[in-house]
Amino acid sequence: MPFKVAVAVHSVLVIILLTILPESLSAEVREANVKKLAAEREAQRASDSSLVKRCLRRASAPLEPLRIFLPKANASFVRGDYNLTVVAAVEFLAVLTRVGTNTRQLAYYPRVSMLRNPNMPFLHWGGLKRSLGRTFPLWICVKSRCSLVSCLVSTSSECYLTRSTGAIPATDLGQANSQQPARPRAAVPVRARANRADSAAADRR
Amino acid sequence: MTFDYRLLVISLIIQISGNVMLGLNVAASGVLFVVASAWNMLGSPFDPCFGSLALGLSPSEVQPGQLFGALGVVDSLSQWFLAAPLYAGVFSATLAWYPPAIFLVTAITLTTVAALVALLRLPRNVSA
Repeated sequence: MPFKVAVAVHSVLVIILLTILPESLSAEVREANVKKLAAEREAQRASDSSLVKRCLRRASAPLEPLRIFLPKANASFVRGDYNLTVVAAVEFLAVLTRVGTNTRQLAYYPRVSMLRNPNMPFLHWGGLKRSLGRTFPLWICVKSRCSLVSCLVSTSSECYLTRSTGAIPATDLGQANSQQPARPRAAVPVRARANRADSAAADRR
Repeated sequence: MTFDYRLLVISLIIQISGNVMLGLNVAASGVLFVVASAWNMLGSPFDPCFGSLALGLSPSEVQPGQLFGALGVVDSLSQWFLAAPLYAGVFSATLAWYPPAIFLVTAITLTTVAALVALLRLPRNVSA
């Protein structure tokens, strides 16, 4: 049953992605990106003289996006801009702990004394296996409620702050991609910033 | 961006304390386990705040898609290549003598994350 629910939820997600969520890049920016990428590939093909070089480049292609994390010389920083390098390191370790913690909590769950204690009433209802079935959803519910509350509080505070400080102009969303329906500004601040960055990039071009 | 940064730090503190609580649960108390894991989940704003902060810190020539694509590559490298064998190895090695040790390892890793976050240099003229 849980798998069927997961399939149903993901199906709804696919529909939402295809129909409601707008493209993060405007059509002009996308077109410019395609042209830029084609030019870069052409230049690389021309520079690859030997077969070994070509093979090496193709093998390292999946790691190519990581180049943006290399420290850069920046006028604002004396020793170079290491911010994105630090961001990558933080992401690496944070994902490591997230995966580890969740799976290990699941593995550790049956060991806690609530389940091993023979005096606990639910153990008399059908043994350890059944008690797992009864208490496990409760634990997951408690965890998910806490996560939901904290995320709601944090994102709504961020939206309020973004609006009150005027960090994003009211007409910014929807301008970047005029073919798509505009979304409420407070919904996703990250996306709003992304659109603003796209508009700025298009203006520069 | 300052708000993102502060929320990130608060989330980290919550997660570190939650993992320390889980790790010091020597008696394997069920109540403490549930409370600590729920407290741990209150640190969930870490991910959205971190995404927002990363976007704010990225230079103007880096597009948001590039940034999040690259972060996705880092995610995959961390999640599929290192997290599973590392945590499975530590958990199986410590299971016999101290099962909650894995949570202490997580707390130590998160402390390293906090130290790295402290190295971030925010632009001075950005308020929210």
